[in-house]
Amino acid sequence: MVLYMKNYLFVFSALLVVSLAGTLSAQTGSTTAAPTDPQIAMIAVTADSVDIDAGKLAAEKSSNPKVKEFAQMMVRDHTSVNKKATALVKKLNVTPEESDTSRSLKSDGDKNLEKLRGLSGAEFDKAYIDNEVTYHESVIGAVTNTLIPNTKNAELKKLLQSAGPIFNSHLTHAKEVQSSLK
Amino acid sequence: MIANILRALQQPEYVHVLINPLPVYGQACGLIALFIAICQRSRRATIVALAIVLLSTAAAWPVYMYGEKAYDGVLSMADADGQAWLAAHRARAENLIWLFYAVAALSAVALIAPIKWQRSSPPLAIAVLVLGVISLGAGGYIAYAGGKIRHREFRNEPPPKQSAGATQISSNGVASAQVTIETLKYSPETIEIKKGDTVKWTNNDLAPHTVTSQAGDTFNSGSIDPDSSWSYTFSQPGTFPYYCTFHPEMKGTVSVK
Repeated sequence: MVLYMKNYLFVFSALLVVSLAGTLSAQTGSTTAAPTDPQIAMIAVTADSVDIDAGKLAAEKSSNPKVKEFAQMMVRDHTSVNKKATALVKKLNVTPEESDTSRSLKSDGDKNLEKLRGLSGAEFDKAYIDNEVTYHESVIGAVTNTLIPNTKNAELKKLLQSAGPIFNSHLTHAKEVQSSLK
Repeated sequence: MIANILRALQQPEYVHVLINPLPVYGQACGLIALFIAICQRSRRATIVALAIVLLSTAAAWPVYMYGEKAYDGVLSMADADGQAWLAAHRARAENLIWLFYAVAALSAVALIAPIKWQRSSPPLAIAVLVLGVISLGAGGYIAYAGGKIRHREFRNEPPPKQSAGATQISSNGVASAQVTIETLKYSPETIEIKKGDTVKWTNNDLAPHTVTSQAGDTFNSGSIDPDSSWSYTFSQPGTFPYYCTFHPEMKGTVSVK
């Protein structure tokens, strides 16, 4: 009888531990809310588009050759990355899905455009390049720390990984242009 | 942390690096012990030394096996020079690994034979010592190339010439060389060709790039879109450094003999 009691106790406590662990992991899962692949695709495409729009404006408005050249590079490279991303999304049959991150990227981008439209000359150049430096820094951070680790699809992951060196090169260029403006 | 260690143990390249000192340093310690045992004329000490040599040289087998398993993964991680060192590392290992097996077999014989024929102990021990020293040299030669695959800081000389991969001989006997553009790099960065050869650049990157000669206007590809390629035939000997006008930090060289 005593032996039976011990066995019951053991089984009961084991069940308790398992169910506790289950609840804990379910909770952590819901609080972090990792982006899904369709959301990641949308974030990547939006991040690219925001930079293309700013680049187009700067290529048109700036009269500084260095800023112009940089803006042209942004339009050229990000358009190309976006083309690749769109083709991949089509191939994988994924419908990009909006998320809080993609929405805030878009609204921040729109705000920046609006601000840039009101500026001109050296003020415009400085505002554009300063924003490009911080923008690329935050995009690189998001791609390496959030997007790549959460991407499930191997091809999408590879695309993000090969975009890394390009964004890093943009950041280096942006910083060079930034220091030339001072 | 334990979970991470367990995960690392699933990676063949990790296990390879973890155990590859055994056949070299493990064996070296065994051989020193064997030398002392021979000088002391002690059969007991010889047995201990031979056992160390046997175990450490037999470890060459898992080292080799995990190395072969890791090959593809490491190849994809290494840069162009690293890939050349990796190819040399593998070729050296495949040609010389038998030496370690021979030392292991000979030390097994040296452990067992003297049980029946006592007088065979000293000559067999000396034979193990000699063959062991040779296999140590081979181990150093293999490891020398291995250490340079991922450690740029150890590369004090140009990488070994790759026998296959970079250049292909087409049917009409003209060597045509391939350069791929990936993650803002020309790979290989330096390519050696003969006069009259054609080099083909293929853009596997996400962004468009150019292949533009540094000096004058010898050649200029204009924009090469992703998944496109551009070829140029070099009719004059010389060294031609080139770069990407879109990303000037990208640099390469064609050397025409």
